[in-house]
Amino acid sequence: MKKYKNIIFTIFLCSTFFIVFFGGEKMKSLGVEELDIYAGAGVGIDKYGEADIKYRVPGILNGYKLDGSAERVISTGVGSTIGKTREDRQKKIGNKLFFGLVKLYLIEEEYAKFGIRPIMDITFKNPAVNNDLFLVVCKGRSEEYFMKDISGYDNSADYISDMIKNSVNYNFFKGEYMFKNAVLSMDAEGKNVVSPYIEILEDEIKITGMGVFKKDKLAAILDMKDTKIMNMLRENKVKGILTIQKDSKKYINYEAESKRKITCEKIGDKYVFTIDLNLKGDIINNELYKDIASKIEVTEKFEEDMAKQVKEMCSGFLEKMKHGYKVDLLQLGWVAAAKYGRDTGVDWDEVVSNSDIKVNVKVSIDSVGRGQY
Amino acid sequence: MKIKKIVIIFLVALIGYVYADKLKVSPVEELNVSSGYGVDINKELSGNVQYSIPFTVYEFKKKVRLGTGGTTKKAASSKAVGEQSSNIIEAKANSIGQTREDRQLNSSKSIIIGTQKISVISEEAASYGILNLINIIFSNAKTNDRGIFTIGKGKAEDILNFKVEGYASSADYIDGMIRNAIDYNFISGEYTLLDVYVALDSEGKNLVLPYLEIKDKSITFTGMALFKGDKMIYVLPMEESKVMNMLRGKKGKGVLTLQEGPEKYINYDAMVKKKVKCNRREEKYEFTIELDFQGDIKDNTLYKDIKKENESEFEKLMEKKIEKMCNDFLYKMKNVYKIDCLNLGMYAAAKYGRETGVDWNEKVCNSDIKVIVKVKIDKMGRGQY
Repeated sequence: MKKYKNIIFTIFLCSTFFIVFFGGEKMKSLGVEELDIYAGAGVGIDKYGEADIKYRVPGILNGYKLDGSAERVISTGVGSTIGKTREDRQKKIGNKLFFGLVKLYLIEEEYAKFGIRPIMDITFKNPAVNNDLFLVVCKGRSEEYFMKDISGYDNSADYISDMIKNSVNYNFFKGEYMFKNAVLSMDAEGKNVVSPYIEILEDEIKITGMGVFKKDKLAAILDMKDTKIMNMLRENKVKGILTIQKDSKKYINYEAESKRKITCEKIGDKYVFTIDLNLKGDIINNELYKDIASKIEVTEKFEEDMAKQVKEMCSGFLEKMKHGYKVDLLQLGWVAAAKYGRDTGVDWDEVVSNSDIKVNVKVSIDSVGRGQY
Repeated sequence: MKIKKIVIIFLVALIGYVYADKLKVSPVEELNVSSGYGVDINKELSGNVQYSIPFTVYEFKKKVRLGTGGTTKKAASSKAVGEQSSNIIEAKANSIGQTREDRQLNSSKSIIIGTQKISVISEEAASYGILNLINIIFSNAKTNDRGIFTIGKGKAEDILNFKVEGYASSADYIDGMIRNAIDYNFISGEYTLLDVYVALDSEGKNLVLPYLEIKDKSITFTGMALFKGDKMIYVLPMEESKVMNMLRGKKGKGVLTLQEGPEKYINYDAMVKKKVKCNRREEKYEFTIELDFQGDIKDNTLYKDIKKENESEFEKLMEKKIEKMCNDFLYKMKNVYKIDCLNLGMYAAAKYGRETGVDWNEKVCNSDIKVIVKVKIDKMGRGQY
């Protein structure tokens, strides 16, 4: 082996040389000053009639000044296809486009209803695009969000992406509303895409619900109350606060972490889903139950009451889902498809809407805090 | 051999624990550090209440790289680092716990709860009751127990939003103001979470909290808010608060004045020590409050040449004046406020038994309260023109 060492090394070097010299395109390297590095982009459409649609893609980037401070720059491209918007934008700016560090896509509600397949496709084709970018549905025009000045941030795209990232602390959000997950679940059988819905309320950007897609089209927008329940039933290991309230002074707040398990059975032609929800957490405020810390009966009563309330909430939501939205919001079809076979031509939205869904809730208390007056 | 095994097991357990704990730690840039919060309520038509809780959050500005020269660069960057400002994040919900969920929806970082130095409760919220608030704060073991509670006139949000020059947030300013208020006006400084909790829970005690107002374009400490149970019922102006604090606290510092005309007065900067004695005669309680003043004369244009002889004269006059002030206050307390704002019930309960179902507010207001004042002069200053 030692004898051939030199020969092997030489062959290796030669082949590397040939591969680099003849194979493939040479890496283009540009100075960072010559690039426009986008932080976020919005996607919207302007309708000029039945079939006449123009895409409008505003991008937001930091323009750096000589003294090191950053300034927000918005450049919008308009065109009849998304590819054409790039050409249009290039005409207006001095530097080369660079979409590799985009953190966020703001999809306007109108465009989401129209169908997001084109933007998903063009983004997926480009290997340089960040797969962890967040997909967010917004009300109104995306420029309004980008135009907002937020103190402490250079631009609002950073702010919104941070907002989505940290939403996981409460409201049972999962925080995985990224491009890569959307690509995977858009066309997977029994799965669907969800993404947070933001609005400008009282001059502040706020998450006000969740947009649910059916294939590539926005099917429903849930308000915050429904969003909470949907997240709880849809995601595993999420955190949030649940409340039993009698009046403004008598209530109990319970901060819980959930664990969820779905089992599916087929009886005849009908599917039966059972969702086991295990909630475990702390009581953060209690005015409703006396002596919850000292008496085990009271604790048990709370656990029972809370389980009952969550169950009621869930069954109310499921009713709404089956008869109102008629979309499989909980990805139950995915569980059923895994068990009873894919590609059977079943419309899971319809099947789930006609199936029995049972929810079992179990509540347990970790700690009740350090005392109460 | 056995010991070695135990030590190893112990260490493994410890490492596991520490590691698990560490996982939750995140850098400070990714957290919203809050310096204070307010409590407002909006009453709805149905009689329910919507809680609105604004948080003051520090905001760290990015360093700005300036200039090219060596020395100027240093100066500029050090200035930029010190620059700090604050922002307000408001949340509204039907219960206090739920406001946390709402707050997360419009903030970009996760918020740590419990680091606050100051809480400003609006007058309306305080009259509605602060029980729920105290409970949620206290049950969180990570809370800063030394955080100060205050009552604010108008909306708490306006007070927190108020820009005070030289401070990152008005919460920092209020914190300093209350902590240093103990030097004058006989203020005791016992307005922290622990004090509030103890005052609410123990028999014969009533809660008082500082009352803040935005006056003449600055935040001012204008009086004391008086609580009965967990509800605020009266706000005392500073003049009365002074007398109340004198009679209520164990120790206090303040300035007392004898005045005859605009140019003729004497200022007496004194420290007071209080002692309470309690007696029961049949059904009636008798309280004796002894106040010992000791202090310096700061300013004297009233008496020419104070010597040993007229020192005692001054002392007597002062005693009389303080006694009158105290008796006026006690009369008002018994007949107008009708609550035991001097915590006298606590002394009586300690002597004659707790949990007897006595309403101390009523008992104290129907009792005899005597005030005995002693004034002593320490120093007169170094001379007088």
